[in-house]
Amino acid sequence: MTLRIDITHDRQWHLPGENVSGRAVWNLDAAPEAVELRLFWHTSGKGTQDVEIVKDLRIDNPAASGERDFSFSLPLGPYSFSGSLITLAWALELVALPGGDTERVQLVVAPVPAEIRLESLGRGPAGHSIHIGPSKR
Amino acid sequence: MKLKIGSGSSSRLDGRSAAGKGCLTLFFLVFLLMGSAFTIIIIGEAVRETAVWFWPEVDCTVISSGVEETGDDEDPYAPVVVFEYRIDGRNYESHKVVRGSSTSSSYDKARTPSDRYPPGSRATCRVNPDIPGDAVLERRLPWIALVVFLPLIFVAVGGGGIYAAWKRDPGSGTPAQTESISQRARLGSGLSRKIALAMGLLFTAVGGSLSVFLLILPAAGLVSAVSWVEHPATIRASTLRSWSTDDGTSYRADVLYEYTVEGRTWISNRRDFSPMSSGGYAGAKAVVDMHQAGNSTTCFVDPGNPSRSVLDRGFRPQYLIGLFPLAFLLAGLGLTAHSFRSRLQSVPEISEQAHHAEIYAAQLDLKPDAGPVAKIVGMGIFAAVWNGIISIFVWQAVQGIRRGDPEWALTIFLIPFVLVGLALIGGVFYTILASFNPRPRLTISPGAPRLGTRLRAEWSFRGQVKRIHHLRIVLEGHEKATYRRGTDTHTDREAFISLDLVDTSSEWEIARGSADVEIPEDTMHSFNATNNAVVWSLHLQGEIARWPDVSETFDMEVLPLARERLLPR
Repeated sequence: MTLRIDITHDRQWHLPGENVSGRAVWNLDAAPEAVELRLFWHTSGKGTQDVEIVKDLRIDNPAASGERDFSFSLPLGPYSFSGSLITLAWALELVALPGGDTERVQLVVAPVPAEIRLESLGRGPAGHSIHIGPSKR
Repeated sequence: MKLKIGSGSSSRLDGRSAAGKGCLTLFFLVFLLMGSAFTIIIIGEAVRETAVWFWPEVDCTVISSGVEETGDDEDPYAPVVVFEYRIDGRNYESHKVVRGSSTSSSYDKARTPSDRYPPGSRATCRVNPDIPGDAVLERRLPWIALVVFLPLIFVAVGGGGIYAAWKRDPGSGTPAQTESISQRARLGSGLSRKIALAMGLLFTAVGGSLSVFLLILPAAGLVSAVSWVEHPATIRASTLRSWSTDDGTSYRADVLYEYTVEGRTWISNRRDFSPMSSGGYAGAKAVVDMHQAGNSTTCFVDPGNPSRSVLDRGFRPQYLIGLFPLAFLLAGLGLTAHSFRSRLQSVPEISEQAHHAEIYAAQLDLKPDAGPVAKIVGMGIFAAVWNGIISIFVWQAVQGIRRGDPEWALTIFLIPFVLVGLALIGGVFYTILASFNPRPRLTISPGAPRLGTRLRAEWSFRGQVKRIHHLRIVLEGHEKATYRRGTDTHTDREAFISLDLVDTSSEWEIARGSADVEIPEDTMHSFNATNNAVVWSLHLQGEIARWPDVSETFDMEVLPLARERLLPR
């Protein structure tokens, strides 16, 4: 039994709004009812887990072996980030139904080539300015 | 070049042992069997009660009617209406008003059927077609069917537990299998909403029903009795009733009194409208001692229906127990509303980008997270419910002290709860005082700034702004994570950025002004999921000497970087 997701970019990191494309490959013992490729984000950390499927590609009644090219447009957010309480990660999953056999590929969706680290941001970072005075109306 | 990134996560349990499954099955089997047994009993009773509605009608004659003592202290009175009827040329006699037990702790309830069926009157009875000697005068709705959901919860827990114990995990048996996370979104969101909705409706139904019996009916009785007429009455009997319960022995003072209205003598044992007629020995004994048989007293009689009367129509602390189910009702309504709201929120916004684009360019008047009236009402309700519940136990402790038999364990146990109650009352006054503060108005432009852009905030006040001697406005971003611990739900917050917009003691700067701040681009935009969120807000703190400060939080939205900035063409 094989499930595989091949991504056609040589990096785990993707910019928000970019396309993520590739090929989903399956080779199962028996023909499944369906295979689904899901683009989703999920949280981990102190809070109860949230999971949201953003895009999916469902192939009904496929043969036991097969492959399908895919291309998903990533939304502008949420970014992959990690804070003191919450970590949000993006992933692609290829799931054979109804058994639930799964292959997962982790992604980083952020403006920089790593997840946003919230705890590393200090108070009052450089770059902000303050103007005080009567409003100009 | 193609990249294959293995997940490496195989957090799925490899499989539960047969012994573990067996133990779980036995555990949940108890729930399943007990729930099933009670479900069958309740359904059977409901079916038998419903069958009476289809028994054939037969004319009958009432021979005698009245109230008899059952000898049972818990329900000492029962209506007795003896009637005779004829079937197939043979006379039968029955004394059943309804099918099943009709005993009551209330003399009034037991007397009502005899009022309806005076001796010598003609009536229609219903005869069991299988047993001609079994007849009743009245049919009852099978109300008992309404409680069938209680054992069904046990059936669901038991059956669901056994199913979960033996359910085949998808992919179990295949080594190093990856557990699907996204499948939880497919299965979990709908299921959790349905559970929340079911729990919300259950709490609403139970809280609502209890509120009717413990709060609304007693309150209606108190209000209506204000116009009842005072009449002289005589105590016929004063009996200390007692019966065994799961928690020990319960006691009730049963004061039977009679009064005469327009030549007819009525008997009743309603002392007040309190839903809690039973309690401890000392309280019940004191009432019995106060109302000795043969003593004269006064009662209050409904002028429109002289059969209704009460000895004491005044308000007593026992009535406050009616506030207790309100907490269930409010929790149920809140949970129901939350489940509906989360259903709406889970629907993808079709024009999310358009919405963002619209408010991105606009100015936006921010609204505080709660207005002054909402704060007062919220704090008032919380303080009322808390102190209403606590006052019942405080009253019990005070009564013990007054009769020289203090319940020290209860008294000491109550101290922290009473202190919290006093703090809540203080909080209500604090909130009321704060409502007279100057009201801030905060406008931001753009309405929803993007990361890496400049935000302008303008502030002004309505009211006596000169009372504020120091003003601070801070733009803050924080993580918010909600999680369950046992049966409680907790929310933790952790700030990850705090940017000062203004920090001044200048009178003219406090009154009105504006400030700019650049939101860093290497941070996190607003994000809102069911249990986790990244929240941006402006917090305004205006210090007032010897008075509650102006303190308002205004949530706002910070958008991700624009597409053009990320993916320049």
